[in-house]
Amino acid sequence: MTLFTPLPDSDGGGPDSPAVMIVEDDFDIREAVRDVLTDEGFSVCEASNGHEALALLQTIRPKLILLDLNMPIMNGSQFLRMQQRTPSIATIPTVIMSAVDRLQEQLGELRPTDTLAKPLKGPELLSMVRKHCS
Amino acid sequence: MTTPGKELRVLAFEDSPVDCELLELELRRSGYRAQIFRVDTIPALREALRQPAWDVILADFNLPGLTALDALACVKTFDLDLPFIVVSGSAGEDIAVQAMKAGAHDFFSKAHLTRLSSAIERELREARIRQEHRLAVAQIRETNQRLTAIFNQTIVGIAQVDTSGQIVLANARFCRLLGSSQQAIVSSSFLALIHPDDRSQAREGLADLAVEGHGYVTELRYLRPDGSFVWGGTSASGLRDASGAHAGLVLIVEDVGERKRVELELQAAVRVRDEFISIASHELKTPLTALELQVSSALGRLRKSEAPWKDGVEPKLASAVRQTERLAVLINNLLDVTRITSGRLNLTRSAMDLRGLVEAVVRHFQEFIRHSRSTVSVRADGPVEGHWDPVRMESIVTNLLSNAIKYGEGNPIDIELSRKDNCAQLVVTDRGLGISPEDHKRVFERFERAVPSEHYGGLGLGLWIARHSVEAHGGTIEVSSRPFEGSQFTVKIPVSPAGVQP
Repeated sequence: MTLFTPLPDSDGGGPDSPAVMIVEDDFDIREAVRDVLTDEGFSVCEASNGHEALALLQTIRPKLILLDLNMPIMNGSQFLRMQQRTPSIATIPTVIMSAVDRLQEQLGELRPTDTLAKPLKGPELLSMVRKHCS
Repeated sequence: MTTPGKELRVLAFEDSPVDCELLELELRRSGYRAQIFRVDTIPALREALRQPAWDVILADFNLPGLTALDALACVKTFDLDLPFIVVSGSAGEDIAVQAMKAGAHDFFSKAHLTRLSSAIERELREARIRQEHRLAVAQIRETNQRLTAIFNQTIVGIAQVDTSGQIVLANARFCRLLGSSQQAIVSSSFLALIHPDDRSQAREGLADLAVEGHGYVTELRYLRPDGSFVWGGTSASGLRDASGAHAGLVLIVEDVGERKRVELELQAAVRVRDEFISIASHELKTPLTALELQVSSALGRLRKSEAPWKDGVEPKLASAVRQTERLAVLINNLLDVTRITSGRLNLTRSAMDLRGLVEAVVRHFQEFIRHSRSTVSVRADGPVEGHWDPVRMESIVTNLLSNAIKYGEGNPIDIELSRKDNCAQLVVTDRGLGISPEDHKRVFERFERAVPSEHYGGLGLGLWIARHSVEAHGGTIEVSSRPFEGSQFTVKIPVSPAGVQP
């Protein structure tokens, strides 16, 4: 059973697709990340859990997903597993943002593209986004 | 002239002084220098026996109204082991038998005294042997009593287990420890006294002991009849019999319940503390993320704007950015302390560029650097790449840089990066307070700093954490410094784990 019908696999988003998708349940963090990125001219879209993110990915295709781990409804690892099992969106780079002490233990066999440790720092966040969206 | 003979103290039960003299002559002839004391009544005999002065009693059989048997009965009331020899002028064989039955040691006719001396000699020898035997028995008994007292009064439990695993001997302390009686413990199986969860461990340990013969030291839970158990620090050692064959075990058991309880409590407390700090750090990092991003982007926006109130707000916002950075360092250090003290400083290595990391940290600290009036220069010929844990490496750079800013007195700070052989070298130099030589080692210890804490804040953890992070990578950290001239910290870290080609 497929949960959604994703867009056909393509190398970048369509003209309307934002560059970065922020998947984060904490409103303040989401807003802060958004501000840092939009101030530097990146377009963003937001989801507050993995389920919302998957729904959004049916219509848009960002160049990068910034993913929190601990979220209600569908957490980061569940989202990552779904994403990696779905060929059409599996190639979108996904960066985990987490304050979890032993991250790899929680992720198990899952391999995100990159990780950013919380507390996030503006310059590091930006250089990570530039690396994947340039 | 005859040589003076062996001295012999004779108590004679004899009514005839003449016969006494004959006895003395006979004894002298045989080489004895006899001193004879003659008594002829029971009261006089009793009185004489009170003196510990006699080697032998020679008793005439027939005295007026008395016989040697009366004398013998009197001697027996004393706890003496004196040879008692009957010497009679008239008595026949039936009397001899009677006397010997009553306990006399020998019997002689006055007409045949020639063998008397050899009989005395023999009796004296035997008395001496009996005396030595009595002394030996008394000594053994006394030693036994002393060892039993030690065995029972010692403050550790002691038990002996035979080759079939049965307890054959247990001291009072052992029984008290197990809350059971000697009767119940002796002849019960040793393993039956052990908590089921510890039995296989005990069985294996004791089996190894029987084979190898070394001591076996462990902690076991011993069951008590009321269903509770007691922690016994147990040392077992093999016993060998006279032929050297395995003859079971001796167990020494000490009550370690209190120590164990404190130990477990301590472990639990440490675990709770570590968990608390870990959760607290995680919980603190989440709001800090929003705060840090918001204040730094607000400061960025403000600096670009033309608002008339810009000059009044900018320093305040810059201060908020600095304090947020400081808070982030403190929280990370707090979490690092937990990782280090609980032995969880595991490395997650990946290929990374140390120069890029240093530049990112310097960029991140720009508000701090600006505020301190120091300048930071980073010098490197090119990327310095290696397989390291990025989080740990960042913690090293962060702690060394924040240290340099804190104690750098506003003077320039240099960071130099290079690759030397198989190591990356990071040198952080400040021109500030410096550290006296006697403090060089101390600054890498926990809660230590080279300056009084009243003057400089912080937890005194940064260099300690840096040292642990460096050492976890198999590297070294050193300081060279002179007071009031500045400090130079040199870190050397292998570019890849030992044994792995870069």
